[in-house]
Amino acid sequence: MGVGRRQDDSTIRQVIADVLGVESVSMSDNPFDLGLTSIQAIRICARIRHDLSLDPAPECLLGSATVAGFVATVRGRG
Amino acid sequence: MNGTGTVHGAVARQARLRPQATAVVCGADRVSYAELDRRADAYAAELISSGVRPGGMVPVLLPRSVDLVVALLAVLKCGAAYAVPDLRWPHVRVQDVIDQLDPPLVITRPPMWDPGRVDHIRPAPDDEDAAATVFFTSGTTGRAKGVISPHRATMRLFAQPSVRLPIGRTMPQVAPGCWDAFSLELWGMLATGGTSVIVETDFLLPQHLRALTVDTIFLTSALFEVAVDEDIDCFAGIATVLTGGERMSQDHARRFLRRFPTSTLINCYGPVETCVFVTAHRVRPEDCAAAGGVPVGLPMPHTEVHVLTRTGMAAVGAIGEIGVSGHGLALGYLNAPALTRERFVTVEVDGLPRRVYRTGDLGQVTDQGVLHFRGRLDRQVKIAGHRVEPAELEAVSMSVPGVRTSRVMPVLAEGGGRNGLALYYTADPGAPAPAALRRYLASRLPSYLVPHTVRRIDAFPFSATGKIDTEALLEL
Repeated sequence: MGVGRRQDDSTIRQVIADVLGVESVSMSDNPFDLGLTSIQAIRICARIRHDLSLDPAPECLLGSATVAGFVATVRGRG
Repeated sequence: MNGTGTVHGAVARQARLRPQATAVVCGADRVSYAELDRRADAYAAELISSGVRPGGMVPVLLPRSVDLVVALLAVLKCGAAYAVPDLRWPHVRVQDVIDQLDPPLVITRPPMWDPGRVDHIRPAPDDEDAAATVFFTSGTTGRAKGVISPHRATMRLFAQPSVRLPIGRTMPQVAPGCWDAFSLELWGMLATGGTSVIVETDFLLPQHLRALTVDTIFLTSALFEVAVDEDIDCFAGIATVLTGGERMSQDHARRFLRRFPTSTLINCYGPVETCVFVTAHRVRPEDCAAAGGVPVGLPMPHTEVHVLTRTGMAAVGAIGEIGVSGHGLALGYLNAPALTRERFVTVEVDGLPRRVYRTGDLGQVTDQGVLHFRGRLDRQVKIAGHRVEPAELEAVSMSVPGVRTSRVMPVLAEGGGRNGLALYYTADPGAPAPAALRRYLASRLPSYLVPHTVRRIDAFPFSATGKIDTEALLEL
């Protein structure tokens, strides 16, 4: 379970990095500082839904101060 | 009279034609035309007794819901215009919009009425030239810019069935009420006897499309691309996809048409000042490889397109500023007569004076009359589908004590897509640091106007011509 979660976390970070066009994303990064727009939030959430069968809301990513906060919310819903 | 009629008049007519048909669906709520019109009549009587009069402007601070539709219809039945400030905006921006409207009252609670008053409604004269709504968009002065749109602007699109705009019988309503797309989604259904399916989330996501039973949707260009990339089968069962707002991606259009060859994909064009759409084009496979891009097409009913030069009309095929005339034009900007005179001008067309809106967009028209969009004359950009005036952000930042000069630019992501805004500023000692300045901007502006990057610099680099050198700035 712990290993699966860590893998999920790194998948989420990778999806965010891919969509934002940055090399890597750390848990303490503010998604907005990385250039996140609402359209990118929608794209990120669609990919997480597809890859991990989790169902995050774009509003949740847009409202998160850190990547870690978003990941915690996504896991809470999954 | 131009013969288009009013928005509320069209809904009342549908209520007589098909009283039991479903007008609005929102979650478990479902309301028939007869019930919608009855509630709106009752609430209109209440509003009239509270002082709403023809010509007034009434802000409605309700989330998307059946109640919101009842309130808007009631305002229109009073002969007044409504405005729907976005509830996600910072409080100060909502307050500023309310101040600009100078309203007789503000609707903040779901409609309620005194049953004894219903019979006393005195309907306002059916005036299609009167203001119906005030849209809000980014302005250059640091405040939201109000665009006053008459009934005829909305109704010209729906008064007769149009091959240019083949809307079906059910459409989701997801656009914010201060956008003109809201009028397309809501009144496009209610003026024609269709069903408006209100989506309570802020974005129409692929999984929502899968769960909805609708035959027509409008998506901004950016959302259309996301849906094609991430979950193309979400479009199954949707007969007509309308899209617009930015240049259409030929690659995404091609993928859509390959997967859904019998669906109708329409590329649309139109600034808010011309109400929803000026032109539309049904996308064909050959458009997806055309060197000139996908056209935005032919004019809507009661709408004319002119390509303007500094002195008159451009020749066929020449690039010039897109001018628009016809019923779609706004009455003007709210409390901004000088700006209204600057953008809504009189131009001689075929020897006769016409009121023309100068869009600031560049375009060219083929010998078949088909319009192609060719960019902007000024600095206006689209960020995540929102129209953004960099000057608005500059004006707000320069209102902060200590900030001397600021300059805002779109930041291009790798691959050419736009990736938010960057703000550079020079300042006196003691002025806010970049992080504090950004927090201040976030407290005043909608999220799409908040810059992703804020940097304080000692001085602006200037080009040889004495202008701020934006390329050198991005490399600082």
